[in-house]
Amino acid sequence: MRNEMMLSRLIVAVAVLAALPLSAQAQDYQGAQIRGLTRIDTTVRLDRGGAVDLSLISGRIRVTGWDRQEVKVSASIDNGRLRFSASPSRVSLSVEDDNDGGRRNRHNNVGDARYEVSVPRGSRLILEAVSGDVTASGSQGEIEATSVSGDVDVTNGVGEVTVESVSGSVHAAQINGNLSAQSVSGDVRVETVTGDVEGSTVRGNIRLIGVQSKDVRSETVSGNVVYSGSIDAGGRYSFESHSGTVRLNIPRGAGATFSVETFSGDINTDFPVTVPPGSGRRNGRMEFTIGDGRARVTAQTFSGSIVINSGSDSTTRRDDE
Amino acid sequence: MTNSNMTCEAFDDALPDYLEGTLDDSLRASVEMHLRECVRCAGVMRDLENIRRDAAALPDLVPSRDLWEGIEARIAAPVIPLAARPERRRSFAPAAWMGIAAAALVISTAGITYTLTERSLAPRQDAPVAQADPTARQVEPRIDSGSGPQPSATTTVATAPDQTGGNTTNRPRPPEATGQRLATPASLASQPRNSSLQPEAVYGKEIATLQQIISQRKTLLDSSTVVIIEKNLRIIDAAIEQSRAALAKDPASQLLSEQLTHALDKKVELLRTAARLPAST
Repeated sequence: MRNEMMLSRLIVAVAVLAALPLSAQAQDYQGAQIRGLTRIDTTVRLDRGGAVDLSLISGRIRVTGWDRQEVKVSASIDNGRLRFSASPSRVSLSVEDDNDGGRRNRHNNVGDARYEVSVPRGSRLILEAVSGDVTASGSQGEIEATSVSGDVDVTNGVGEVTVESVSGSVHAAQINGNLSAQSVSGDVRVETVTGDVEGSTVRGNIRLIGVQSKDVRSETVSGNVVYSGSIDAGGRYSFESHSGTVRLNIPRGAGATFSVETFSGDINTDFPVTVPPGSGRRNGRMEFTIGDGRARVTAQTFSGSIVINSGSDSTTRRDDE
Repeated sequence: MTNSNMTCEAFDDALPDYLEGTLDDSLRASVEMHLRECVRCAGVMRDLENIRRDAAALPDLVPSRDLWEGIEARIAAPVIPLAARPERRRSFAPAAWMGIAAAALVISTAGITYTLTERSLAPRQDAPVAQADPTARQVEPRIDSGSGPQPSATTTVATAPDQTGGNTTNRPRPPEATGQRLATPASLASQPRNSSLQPEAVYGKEIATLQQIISQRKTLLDSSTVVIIEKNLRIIDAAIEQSRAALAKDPASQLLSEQLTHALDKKVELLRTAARLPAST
């Protein structure tokens, strides 16, 4: 008897699954996990601080924050199937493939997907594209955005924000929290961050503008580094490039001890540094203190130059790349 | 291995959040049930816990001799007070400390590579992975097989001393089949200080392991991605070579030591990134 009931339920379940539309509009998917979609337009509730997890193989992800406590999803895929699931604490959308193993399986023959998603402010975003651009703005929550061969652009993150790309550029702006921005062969651009900043690339430039932080670390191998931001008392600021120029725009009123060093490049500063004859530039190293010297700034390059300019604010210089 | 609640892949996906304690109750319960039932994943978890414990228990590292006085004398650049000068602090670590710190960092983070190794070198039914060549130690472990001159940085990496009996660079069968395991970070940490804490040796081991993973996964990655990775590895290798050559002429240079460490660090970072890329990307 029990087996018969189970069999009946199984048959019903299979029938329901078979009847699911490939294109779904404005249906109540709360608590559902739906597979095999080519298009979805729906709105589901998300608890405060819930997570939105979006991934695709190729195409684009675009997320914007709004004031409703709901997630609105509008997505489609040219070739392939989407998988959508929603619970009060998490909304997920991904591309499934023949193996239905999610994002880590083979991705052959999957067409472009386009995600347009509105999320409640304060949501935690997990955005992942293999070959496609990722943009997020206005979510005002934690963001983890990665792409292998696309650009990543996030604004208005709060808390921990991570942006990564392999061959694309990464851009983060208006971040109130700690930021990790990393690329391999793209540029790293950061604007207006309040929190710890870590910028890293191999072949690109790093540009950190309008940073208010006590802990900044940036390193590139063959690109330039530009920093224009605050120097807070007790802060630590580290800028490194192997063959690029390091250019720092430091507020005039800052208090910091500088240790700058280059193996074969030049060091230039418009701070009134007096170097005794025969001693100051030995081996391309210079140390000097401005103000109370409480912050520590280190800049190193192997074959690039180091330029330290004094400025009254964190203005962007256009001649620094 | 699969059990009734969770696959090993799902476990791998959930593991970071599980370790951070951010999983919801139901998923955490599934992870814990899977750990009770799956030998492979229980082993991974045990290793990670060992790594965490061993890293926390690392002793204060002391260089074989105090190099600071000699280095300080050589780098005595003037500090020019522009305002009230604070009491001079011993602010910038000597090169030896930088190297030791770098080595300790590699040891303590080598768990990432270990996990990657576990994932990437274990044969999978859905993702064919080339078997390791039994002559792997004679094969240049770069992604590409370019015929041009190889940077000596790569050569050094390829010939870095193997302190685990050769299992690190030649792993034809998974550990479950052979009863052997790759060198775990814990075992690295317990190696004699004077051998394992040479930064380049530690980096070399890490780099060689990662390069083996990547060379085996090369066919699974998109060719344009491979080109990008290779191009950037060449840039880093050139930086390593330049730093090493300059350091050979001026072994006491803190700058050059740090530049070399940073370049090696960058290479490890890039290789880890490449090793974690999903297939067909």
